[in-house]
Amino acid sequence: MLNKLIKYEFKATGRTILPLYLAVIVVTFINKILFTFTTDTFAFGIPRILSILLYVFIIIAMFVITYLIMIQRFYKNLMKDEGYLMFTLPVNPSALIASKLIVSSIWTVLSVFVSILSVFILAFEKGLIGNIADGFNEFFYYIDLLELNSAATCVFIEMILYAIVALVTSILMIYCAISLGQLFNGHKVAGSFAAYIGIYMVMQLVSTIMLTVLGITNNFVITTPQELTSFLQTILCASLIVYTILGIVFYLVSHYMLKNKLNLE
Amino acid sequence: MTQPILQCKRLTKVFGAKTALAEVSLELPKGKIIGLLGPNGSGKTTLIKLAAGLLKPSEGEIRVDGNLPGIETKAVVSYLPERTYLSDWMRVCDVLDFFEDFYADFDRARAVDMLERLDITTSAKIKTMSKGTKEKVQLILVMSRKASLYLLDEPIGGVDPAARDYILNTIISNYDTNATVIISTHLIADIEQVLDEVVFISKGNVVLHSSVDEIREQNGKSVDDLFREVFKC
Repeated sequence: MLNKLIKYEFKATGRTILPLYLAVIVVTFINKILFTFTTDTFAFGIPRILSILLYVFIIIAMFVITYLIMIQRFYKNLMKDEGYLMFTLPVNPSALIASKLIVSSIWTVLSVFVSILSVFILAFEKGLIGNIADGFNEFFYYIDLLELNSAATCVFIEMILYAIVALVTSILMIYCAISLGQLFNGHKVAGSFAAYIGIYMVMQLVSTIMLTVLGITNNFVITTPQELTSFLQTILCASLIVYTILGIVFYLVSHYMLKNKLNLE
Repeated sequence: MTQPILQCKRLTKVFGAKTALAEVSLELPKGKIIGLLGPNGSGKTTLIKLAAGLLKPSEGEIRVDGNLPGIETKAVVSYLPERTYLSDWMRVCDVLDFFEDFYADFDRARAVDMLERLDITTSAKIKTMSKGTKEKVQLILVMSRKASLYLLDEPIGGVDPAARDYILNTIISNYDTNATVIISTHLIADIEQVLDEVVFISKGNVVLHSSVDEIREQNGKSVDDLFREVFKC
């Protein structure tokens, strides 16, 4: 059933997000063409500025809309009238949460990829790929020179894991806030905001305490690259653990609320 | 004796300081059309939501075909809420796909046939439909399932009298003889002729559970008249 839920979640969101991706690519090419085939003269000055503004606007719009859809799908599809259908389907609440979480995560990652692709298209010129390859070669040369190979691999893997966990946890934090906020009859949106701010403050407190403890127990003096990587590793590792725990807590709270405290209007 | 399709044992639901249902014990048999009748705010919708698995009991329990509400019961319960739950962005054909995907007992051909008879095309967008049309689509979807228990919460409240007759015909001609249909309403006169049994509910309590024939024999009254008497203000 989870795959069917995911299918409908893609259907419901794709019809907004995919045209947006297309728009980003189109605007990217407009910019590319304008900057490749025109010169920086007065006649082309205004079209150039306008197309840059349009480009910045559409990239920001893509991320904002991806984020808003993430919130709107959970709130509107589960907490409003559509919830009467979703919660009487023969599926577990965990599948409902998972389907929305998976699809939102995928769209966020895709939005990042689309913006990277777009920048790549804009910056593309003969020899660009060679330059990038040279840059990486140089980077790995120094890593090798400093005998940081294993540590660098470690940091790299930790950074990827951290990005995934931070993304999933931040989505679950929104779900958690909405599923707590729906308890407030007639003020569900305000309740969700209040819950979000509350959770945020608790998180800040926890991370401040954690960093303080780390600072006290470790003597971080960074003078060499080796010390920098070990510092990064410690911070990343600690953050990874904290975010994973937080993510699990957010999930469990959301699941409990949807299963036992559902409060459809 | 066969197992009741719906069974409540001292079922209680409390919202804050308000008791919506107070220790309701009730057994409803298979193969009947049952009217759940009571004034506004008497607990009809709460009882139906508990049976549909949208609410958890505060005390006591409710069972559908012997099971506590969960995936198994949701697969055999066809629920029509008061709300229109269809997504705006869908077309009728998308909604049909959706029901076909999630409910093994959904009969698409039957739904398409009924939609055609009401002049609703499958390419119609939900967004552009009137409230009444949406309600008709929903009822058709719900009645096109071969469920064991139909929970219809105010199915005739928002539609015109002509459509009302059609809807009632749809309900009685579409349910399997083993299935039970629970209809909650306060428009009793309109549905009286289709009911086998009635449950009167008042302020969270069941005040009467009887067959329609018994009411007519013992009281010499129609259900509508009895209702007016019991719930006289």
